[in-house]
Amino acid sequence: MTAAVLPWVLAMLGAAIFLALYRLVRGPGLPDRILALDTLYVVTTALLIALGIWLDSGVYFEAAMIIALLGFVGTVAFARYLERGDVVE
Amino acid sequence: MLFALIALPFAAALALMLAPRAGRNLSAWTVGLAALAGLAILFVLAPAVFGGEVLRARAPWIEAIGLEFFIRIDGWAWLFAFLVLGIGALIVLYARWYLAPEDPPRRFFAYLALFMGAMLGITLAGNLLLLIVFWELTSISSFLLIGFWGRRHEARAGARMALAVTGGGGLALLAGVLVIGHIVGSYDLDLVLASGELIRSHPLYVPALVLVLLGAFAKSAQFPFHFWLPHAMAAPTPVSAYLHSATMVKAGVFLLARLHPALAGSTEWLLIVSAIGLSTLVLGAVAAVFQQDLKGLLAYSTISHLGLITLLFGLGSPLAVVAGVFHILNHATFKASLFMAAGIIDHETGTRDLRRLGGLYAAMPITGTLAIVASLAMAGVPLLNGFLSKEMFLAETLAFESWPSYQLAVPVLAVFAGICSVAYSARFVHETFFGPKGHPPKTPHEPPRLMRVPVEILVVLCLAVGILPNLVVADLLALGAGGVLQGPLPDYHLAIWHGFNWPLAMSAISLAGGLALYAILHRRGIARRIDLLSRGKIAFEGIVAALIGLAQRVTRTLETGRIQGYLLWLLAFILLVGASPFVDLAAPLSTKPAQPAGPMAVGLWLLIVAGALTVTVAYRRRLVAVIAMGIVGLGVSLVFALLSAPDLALTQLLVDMVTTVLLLMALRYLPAISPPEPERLARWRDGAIAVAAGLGTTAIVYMVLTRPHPSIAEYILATTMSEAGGANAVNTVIVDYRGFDTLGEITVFAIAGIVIYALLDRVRLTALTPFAAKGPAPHSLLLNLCAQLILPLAVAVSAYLFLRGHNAPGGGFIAGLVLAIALILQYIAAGSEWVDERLDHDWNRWIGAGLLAAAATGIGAFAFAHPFLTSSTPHVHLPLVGEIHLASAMGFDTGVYLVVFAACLLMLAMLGKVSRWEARD
Amino acid sequence: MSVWLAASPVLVPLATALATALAYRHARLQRLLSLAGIVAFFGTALTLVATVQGGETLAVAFGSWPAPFGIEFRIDRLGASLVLITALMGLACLVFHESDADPGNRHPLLLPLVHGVLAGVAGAFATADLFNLYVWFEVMLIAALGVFAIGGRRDQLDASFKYLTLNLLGTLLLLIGVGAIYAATGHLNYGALAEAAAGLPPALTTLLLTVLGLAFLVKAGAFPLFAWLPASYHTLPGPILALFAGLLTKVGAYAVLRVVGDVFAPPPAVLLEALGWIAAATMLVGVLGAAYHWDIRRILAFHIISQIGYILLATALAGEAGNAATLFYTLHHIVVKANLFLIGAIVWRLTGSYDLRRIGGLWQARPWLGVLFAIPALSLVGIPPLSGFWAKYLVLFEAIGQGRIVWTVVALLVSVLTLYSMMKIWLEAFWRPHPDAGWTLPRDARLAPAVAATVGLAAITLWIGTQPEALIAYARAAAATMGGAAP
Repeated sequence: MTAAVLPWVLAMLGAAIFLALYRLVRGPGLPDRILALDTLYVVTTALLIALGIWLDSGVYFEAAMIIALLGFVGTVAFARYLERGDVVE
Repeated sequence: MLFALIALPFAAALALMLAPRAGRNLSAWTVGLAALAGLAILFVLAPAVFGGEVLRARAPWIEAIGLEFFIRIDGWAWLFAFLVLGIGALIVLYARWYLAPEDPPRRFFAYLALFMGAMLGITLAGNLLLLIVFWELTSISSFLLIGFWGRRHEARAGARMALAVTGGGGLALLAGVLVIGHIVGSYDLDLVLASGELIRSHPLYVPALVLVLLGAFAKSAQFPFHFWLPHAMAAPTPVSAYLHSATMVKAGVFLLARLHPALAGSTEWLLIVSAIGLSTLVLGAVAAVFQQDLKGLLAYSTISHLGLITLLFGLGSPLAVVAGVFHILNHATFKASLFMAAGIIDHETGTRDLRRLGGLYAAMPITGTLAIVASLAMAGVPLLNGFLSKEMFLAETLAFESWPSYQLAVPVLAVFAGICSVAYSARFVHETFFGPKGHPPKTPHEPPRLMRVPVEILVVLCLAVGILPNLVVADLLALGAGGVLQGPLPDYHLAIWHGFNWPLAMSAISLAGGLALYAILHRRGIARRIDLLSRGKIAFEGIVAALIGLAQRVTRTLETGRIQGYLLWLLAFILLVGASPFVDLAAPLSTKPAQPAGPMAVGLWLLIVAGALTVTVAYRRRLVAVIAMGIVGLGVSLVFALLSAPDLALTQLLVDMVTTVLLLMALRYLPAISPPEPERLARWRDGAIAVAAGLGTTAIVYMVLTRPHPSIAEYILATTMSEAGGANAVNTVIVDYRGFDTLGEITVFAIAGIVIYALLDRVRLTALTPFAAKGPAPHSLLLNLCAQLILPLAVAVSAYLFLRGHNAPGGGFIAGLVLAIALILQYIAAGSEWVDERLDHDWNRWIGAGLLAAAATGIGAFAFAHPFLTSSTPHVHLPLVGEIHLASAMGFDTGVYLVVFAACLLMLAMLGKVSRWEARD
Repeated sequence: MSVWLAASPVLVPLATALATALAYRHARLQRLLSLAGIVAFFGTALTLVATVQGGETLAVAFGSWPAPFGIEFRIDRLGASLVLITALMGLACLVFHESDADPGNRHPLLLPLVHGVLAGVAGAFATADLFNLYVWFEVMLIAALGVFAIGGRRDQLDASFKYLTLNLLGTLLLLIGVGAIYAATGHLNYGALAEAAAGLPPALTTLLLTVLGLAFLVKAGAFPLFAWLPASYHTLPGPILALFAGLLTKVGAYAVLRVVGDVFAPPPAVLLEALGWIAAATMLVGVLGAAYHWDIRRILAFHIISQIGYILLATALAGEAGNAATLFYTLHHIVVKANLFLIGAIVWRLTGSYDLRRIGGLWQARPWLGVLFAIPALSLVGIPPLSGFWAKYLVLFEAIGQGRIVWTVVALLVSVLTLYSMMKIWLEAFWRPHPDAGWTLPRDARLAPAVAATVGLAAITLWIGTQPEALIAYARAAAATMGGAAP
């Protein structure tokens, strides 16, 4: 069952990536693009786990964990920058 | 003793340079004694040399390239050395009186001695390379002497021109000697002189000939390299008398004579040498008539006479050679005396300008008589030495056979030159000593007795040779000519009267014609008015200016000062050269078929390309570009994940996060307005080059990937557990197999951090970003909470990744980055002041500690007599825990951890500090 | 012992760098440590040369991983002589730095960075692993960049940016080349590469060597990839400029020699041909640039480029003779070029300017300076009996022997132009009276260490000039072991 579903999962995650990419390119505003990037990070987390299941390997778990743990730092930095013009004050 | 001969002048020069205070007398005596001692040695050697022996003395110098210190004295060398030393001694005496009190005598005489030694070296060298060494030394010493009065502009200009031409000639000569060395297989003069046939029949004969001739002609001021000599007249007159009439300029013709057996005898030699000699002869003679400067007139006359000698050597018959040797001797004698006389006139009247001189005979009768006699010799009047060699010269021009037009032209032009030479000699005598009294600055009178003695000696010699040639000079001549020809001498005898023949008639025509020419010119005052510009100098300056112009254009094109320009050149060239191997590929280099790319690979590729394109297109909107760069980073890490490289994927992700934060911090200080867009054409061009570069790289990578690639990876994979003690091959490669590389790389990272520290420590920047906001930072509770919660988690994750790095994806680098990012989050949330209060933020020390840890691990191996960085895997048994399998590479990994972590935070802290400084303003 | 000795070219300067970095708050201690470190480095370098002189090659495998699986330092005669000259240059320039002739702002981090540069240079000379070579290039690049950047002046910052960007492109190219070679052969160790390269199709070898060669040529400053040099060098303080000018580009030239003349020898003929033409163009463009400028530093910077052309030409001539000529020329030129820059710094101290149009009268004021200048200047031109003459002789003899007429003519022309350029400096700075009639020498110049350094270097030039036999023999012996001839 897993084997049958997985390609679909991967395809949908891929579609999600491209939709986020579209949003990033189109904009129209900076917050849109930043959120697109953040979405990409989240989707990547899922993609890595799915990849791990597909390849039957546990090596990608840490990567997904790290993105989950720290991935939003970039978004926070961007938001700060937009808000204040300075990341670390 | 032969070595002493060469060593003496150099020793004198050295002694003078080292002696702190040497007056005129001491300096003159030092050099004079050296010259006299040299002459004494020559006299001692004379019987052997006159008897036909060739004296040789060898000392090894540089065997590796076939250069030995080989002194070779045959007849020609002996004669020329005698000339150099004899006239040198006289010049020393003359110079002692000529030099003004403010001229530093020590320096002058030291240079003179240096030159004398170098000139002797050229004469006596038995090895062609050795000759080149001394040849260049004469150019240098001549430069120093011409520029002796360096404060004057003409002296500098003259020296520059002289060195440029003679130095350049010397280089050509070097090349010529190299070719000859190549042909003959040695630089030994004995061998070279014996290999005439071999050289002349070799395909490289003409290049060698041309190169050697270039050197000789440049030195001897032959057309078209003659122009430097008149400008060298800016030198003090003793220098002009010694170097630029008697010895240095003769070096070229000396060489022609020296290499006569080796190079002469071919049509090329005849044509080139005689043509150049002939043109120089005529050119110099004509120009001399119209000079206004005494020394200028004599300079052009020297050029003309050197042309005569060259022509004689060009004609090539043995008798012509004898005539050439004879004229070298005679010309040296009368020209040196004339120069010295001109120097006396200059010294006593204060001017050398013919227009201001006149009627000096009354004030300086003795000098005048001497000068008149010497001028008669120069004009070729009977009973003087000049007449004898001129007669021989004219006879040779008649006797030589070649194409009819050339055969006719040579004697005709010789007579024409003779007419001019009589004219300028007459002018020299008449306008200086006779006629209405001129207006010189000083009241003229006779010079000091001793200053006149050298002139007297030389003039007496002119007379002696002219009246009694067989007694005085016949033996010397035979000696010299024999040395040149390296064979039997032709039949000739020296006499004043050979009967009524063509040469006598030609001489008579010259005499009459010259006097007539001078009378016409003088009556019309033409000679005084025409100032013949030196075409050569104009050409020289023109060439120099053109070169500078070329240099300017080339430099301006390449040195635009703009980075885009530099990069364009770089990339364009790399593309051009890099693409050329592709052009004629006989067979495709790929041997394996390409693997199909799955949908995921294609998708990722599209992602990365889209991101990169966005960055390029939107680069002026910097924030968008940074965001798009984040996408590219993410895409790349996914590619790594797809290719089964989890360590790399992790590293890429983390580095991407840190870089984004740092970029944003730096973005604050970039101007809000981007520089203007380059024009469309430039953009398309740049784009095309960039795409081509990318395609080129792709092609290379494709080519190597589609070939079988055995590699050392197999060994590493096989031994990673057994020898390195870790299952994660990537990590063991980083910290063990190639730990030395990593040491270098963390050093780079550390240095980068420290440089950023140094750069930003005191800097004050203004925030230029449009997003800058004033006022205190708002406090976001949610963010702070998240940051504080995540920190311990991150510490745990970091430790976990570090400890397991050796056996599973992880390691010092990744762990360090994780902790760094967690702390960065703290900084963002709470501000740097808050964090700095609670954290030891001397990041430099942490970096140092990290480097020390890594190095110590490496050095620790020395303790066990193993090479640097040898790792070991001791098994430690801990109570309760059990057996732990450690790897000493862990110490190294700790170093990596510390360096990475601290450097990242250092960069962040410094950038944060800048904004703090700015806020306080 | 030999284990430590082989690693010393890198370890000693790195240790000194670390020590001086730790002492960065105590200026005097830092200088003492720096001098002690460079003297130690010089001593170990001498020992190295003495050891390999007899033909032995010092090797150490880091981490005890046998070659070709680990990184190896393999110091043969070529490497040892270059390490020695690095140490010597470091010694001369650091001693010079003690004087007050253009020392720059004496930033506390300057000395650690300089030792970092020395470590990178020496490492590049000593290594026998292609990727390790890349690492040392990186160390050199970042440390040199640091030296540029800490000056703090605006033009220095501009220079550092240009230096970074352009060299980064070269580094990138190098990485691509190394990666491609690893993919194609599976090895990174020189010895293993030499064997593996024999099995590659020649077209592939040409391609790989082109990429690698271009990267090294960017580092070496060949035409037209040299833009970074005149854009940045003139902003450095005097003795540091001398050090960089002498060493950094030569590492690139050494890498070309090592790759073309040793590891991948014999290379495809088309590569040597292209290299020769690039060398000829480099020579010409360099000397033309020198003829055009009036700032002593810029003139000399262009001369670096021009002389690199000679070195590359010697490499292009290949064979034992060509490689020996390359080594000899490199060693001679490093000494002469650094010396010229040092003397330029002394001129600056005495006159206050580097611009030839604004100075003069130095011959009258300080004749010994003129003599000190004349020795390296004439050597650069190639006047006997100075080192440059023999260096040019070796190159020209081989060029003529191979029938390379155009290259020989270009080399001779360039020598004439070099002569012109050196004359220009002599005439304007020394003979011509100072344009400002009231100019006098500064009274408080502390030049003793400066003079000591320049006299030492001039003595070396004179020694090589009058006794080149030893060095020629050494260079020939070094060349004989290259290209897989004898081990």
